[in-house]
Amino acid sequence: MKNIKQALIIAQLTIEENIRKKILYILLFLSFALIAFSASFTSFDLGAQVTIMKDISLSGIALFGIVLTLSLFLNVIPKEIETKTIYPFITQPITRGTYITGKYIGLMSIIAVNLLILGLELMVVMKIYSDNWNVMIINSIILNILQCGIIGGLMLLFSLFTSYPLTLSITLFLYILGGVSTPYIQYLQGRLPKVLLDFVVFIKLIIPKFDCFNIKDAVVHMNALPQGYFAWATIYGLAYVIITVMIATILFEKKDL
Amino acid sequence: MEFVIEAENLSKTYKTEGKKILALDNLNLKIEKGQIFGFIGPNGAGKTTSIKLFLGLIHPTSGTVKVLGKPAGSPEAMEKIGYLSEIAYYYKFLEAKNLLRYYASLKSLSKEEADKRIDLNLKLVGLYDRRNEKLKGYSKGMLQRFGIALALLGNPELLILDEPTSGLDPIGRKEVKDIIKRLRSKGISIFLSSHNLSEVERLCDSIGIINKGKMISNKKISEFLSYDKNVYTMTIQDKEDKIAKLFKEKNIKIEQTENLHLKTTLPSNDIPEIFKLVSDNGGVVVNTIPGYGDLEEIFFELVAPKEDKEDKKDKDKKDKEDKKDKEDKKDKEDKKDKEDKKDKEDKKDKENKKDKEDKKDKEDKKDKEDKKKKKNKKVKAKEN
Repeated sequence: MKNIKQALIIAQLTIEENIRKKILYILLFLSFALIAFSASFTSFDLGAQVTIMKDISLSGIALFGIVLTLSLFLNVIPKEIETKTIYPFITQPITRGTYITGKYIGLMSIIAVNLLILGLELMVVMKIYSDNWNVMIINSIILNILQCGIIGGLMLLFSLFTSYPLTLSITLFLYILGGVSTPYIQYLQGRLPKVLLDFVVFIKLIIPKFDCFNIKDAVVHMNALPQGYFAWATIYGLAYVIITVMIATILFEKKDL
Repeated sequence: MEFVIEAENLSKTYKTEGKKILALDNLNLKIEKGQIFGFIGPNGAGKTTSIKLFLGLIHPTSGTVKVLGKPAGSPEAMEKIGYLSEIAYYYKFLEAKNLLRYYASLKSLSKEEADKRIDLNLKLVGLYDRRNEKLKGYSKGMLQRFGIALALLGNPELLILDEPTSGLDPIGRKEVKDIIKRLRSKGISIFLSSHNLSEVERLCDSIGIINKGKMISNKKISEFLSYDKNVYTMTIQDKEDKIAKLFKEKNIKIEQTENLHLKTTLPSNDIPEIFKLVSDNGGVVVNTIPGYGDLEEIFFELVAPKEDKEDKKDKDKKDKEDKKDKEDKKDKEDKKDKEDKKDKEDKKDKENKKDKEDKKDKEDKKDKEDKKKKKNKKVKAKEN
């Protein structure tokens, strides 16, 4: 209980520190502008216009989430170590796990709040145009947040033992590979050397399946998701988040500061 | 006996660019509770590495360290430790009081207790009036004082201070020293790492001297400063430089000469004779201090000679190299001179030879012409 309280205090301080970053407001403004821009497609009939608006806006929100995650998580712990602002924290009666969890919660809170603001904006716009509350938008945003959570966790993990350009490269590589669906892997059979293909298949097995957090098509075309899909995807995402933060904690415990 | 820090065979090796650097070599240290322990040593001696190991910021390569009876860096140990780093590493976008509240909430302090302690500590370090200002507006000295307020926040049993007076003006330094003295009277143990030897000498009960990762001396201050009770250090005013000359004649070692003053260390039996010698020759004995001298002298005695020797070794090596270089250069120059001389001579010979040949050619030519003329004359005469 004490650890959770301490992690939340560090999270609060992390939020206070990061809400001063200009990039946050620039990205938020651009996303707002994109949603507003999508509403300007008036040459289509209303049904098509709503579909286009949802498609563009959800894609924009997903992109905003990823860019924000990359910018906030990139180099977060190494920078604290380099500037030594970590010292006054680590010399308090807290565990290193508490510190890293607090940092993670703080940064993810900023991302979650921003994505939810954009999701709510889209819902309001949809209400104006289609006269109904599309709750699926919020489901899509929640899965987006989970996706960002995994990306953030991976970045936190890699940043503890690699440089920041490498952290960014590995994370983006895993994100792209995680988004590649199985038919593509089948397509690669016979086209890639067996060793390389086995490596790709192995990596594909252990890395998160990012495509399962993308329910944009279902939301845009108002298709129902399979029974329990949302709950399963949420548990799957949370499990990955917990695993990555736990591994990051173990590595961080062993690190010399 | 209770110890606040217990280090056994503590070593730390850093790996940088494939090289292993031994930063701390088998440190054995026990610091008694309630003491002010001064930790001194030259730059790169291993002071910061030791502090980082005591705080659990880095892990030892070998050996163990316990702080307040708990493993170093454990939350149980950190609960009762206050730490002040040499340079201020704080979030500067927050106000002093607000930031202290955050740190206080990481300790087991109630909100009321935290507020009370924050105000008390800010008053103690003289920052209460500026408590609502952001840290980015603070001077280096103010940040250092903020660090002291933070270190004292959790009512610590052990304070680890790394250069606490660094960056402070003389008034600030005195205030910090007074705070440290006050804390000692409250029974707080203090580990003080400092470059300021007089500060350490005045404040500390025990001193450890570290050099090149090794603890080379660890004693109580009284043991340090009464190194040899039968020896006195004498400072003499020597305006006319007479006494220095006399000392040299009598083979009395002069340790320091500065601003018309000289310092020497003598056995107690020699004191009356030196007093007489000084007064007879227009000098004045400024002071006579029993013991080996001050901490600065002991520090240099223990740390500097090795470096001096190495410096001397390096200097000798350099001198030899320079000498060799000079000799080589001279040889080369001589050789060059010889070659130049030879070249000149050769050139001269050649020129002489050429001149002779030219002369001979000219003479031959002249002879031929003369002969021709004579012949022509003869022909003309015959014709006539």
